[in-house]
Amino acid sequence: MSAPLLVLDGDSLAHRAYHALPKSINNNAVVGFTNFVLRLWEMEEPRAVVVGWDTLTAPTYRHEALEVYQSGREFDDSLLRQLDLLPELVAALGFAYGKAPGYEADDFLAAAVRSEEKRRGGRSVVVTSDRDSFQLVSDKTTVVTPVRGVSELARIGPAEVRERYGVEPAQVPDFIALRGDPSDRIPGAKGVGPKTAATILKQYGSLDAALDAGRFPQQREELLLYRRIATLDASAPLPPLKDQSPTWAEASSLFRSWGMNQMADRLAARAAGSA
Amino acid sequence: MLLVRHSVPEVDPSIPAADWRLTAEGRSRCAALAERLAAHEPDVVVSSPEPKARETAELLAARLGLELREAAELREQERRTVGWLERAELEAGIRRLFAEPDQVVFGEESATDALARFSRAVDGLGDGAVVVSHGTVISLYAAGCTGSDAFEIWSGLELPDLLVV
Repeated sequence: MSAPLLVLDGDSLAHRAYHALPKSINNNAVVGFTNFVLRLWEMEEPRAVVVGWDTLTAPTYRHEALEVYQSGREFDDSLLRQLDLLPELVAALGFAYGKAPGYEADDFLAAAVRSEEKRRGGRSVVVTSDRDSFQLVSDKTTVVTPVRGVSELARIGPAEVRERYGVEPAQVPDFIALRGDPSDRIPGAKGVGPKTAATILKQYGSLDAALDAGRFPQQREELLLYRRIATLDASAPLPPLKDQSPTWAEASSLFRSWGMNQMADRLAARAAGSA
Repeated sequence: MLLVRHSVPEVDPSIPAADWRLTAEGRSRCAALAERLAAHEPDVVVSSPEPKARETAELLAARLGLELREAAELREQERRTVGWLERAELEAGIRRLFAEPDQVVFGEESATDALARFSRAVDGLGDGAVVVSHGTVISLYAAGCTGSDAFEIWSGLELPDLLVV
């Protein structure tokens, strides 16, 4: 089997790292993110790595279309400062990344997966805690979600999406529109939980068909909006995803310039080992 | 899961650390920690039986209005025979413990054995569990979860502290 494209939700991993390590560690999210990435790189042996990032300073069409979308989220200043450092680190590691106003990290995941699907034999491993990404799952794309850090990872293929949600991966945006998504504050259809959402999609095949059959006449436009919000935007701009060789020495120098000598030493040792 | 290191203990070199209780400052710090925990909507508190952890857990459970359970396997790495040490000596011992995880090099229990029984206690718990325990075993567990260095985590933990894994 060919080496996969490793596609990382940078914000998701950085948030996890920030909360999983003591705040007194200098740049704890950067340390934890790097350790996550190194572990994943060793596990997956990818041909290339691409990381998607949110641009928290700019709203996306989702925020403009739905006022409550992701409302109430507040992040520590320390985390925000570290999120600004991480794209530079990813570049120093020799990996690609996508970050642009108007797009969320998971839009870049969709763009990367679509790009890899066009390669002959291409396959992707997407690492994120965000279940919206289940819509990307296929026989070529697996979603890996951390259960307890990187020590326990759940691998989600088409069968696991069916088992968890009772729908096909391509139906996930319809499913989210109907069920809602508390973490993103998407309300969903009134009185519809996960089981009913799955049953409706099984019966009608799609949200469009359910609406055309007269279901939820009062909420038609809202539900179409929720689906649009839940659908990842694969048009997010990414650089070419060529095969990569990690540049450990460059990343080591960057850590040194940040005064993070322990990480600098680890990556220097890795660079010496791979020289 | 929410891993909590106990709050500030009353250091008494004449008795084993495993028997220390919290100071007044230690008890007071639990209020702010309870507020941080509340944001995660926890559903149960599970504690080590050691007094400083148990007391931390009782204060948290009371403030959060949660059931409190005790699990002996959440106790600190066994080192009752080590006695009280100055910080530098303690750090050297912990470094050795983490560097030679399969060997009994500091106290009466290897890092591997301490981590194994701690893991048995927490692996069946849900994400909403608040686990109140101790610096060494929490560091070993969090290091496995994050791929990070256990000693760096141990050195960075405060009293009390919260790690979400």
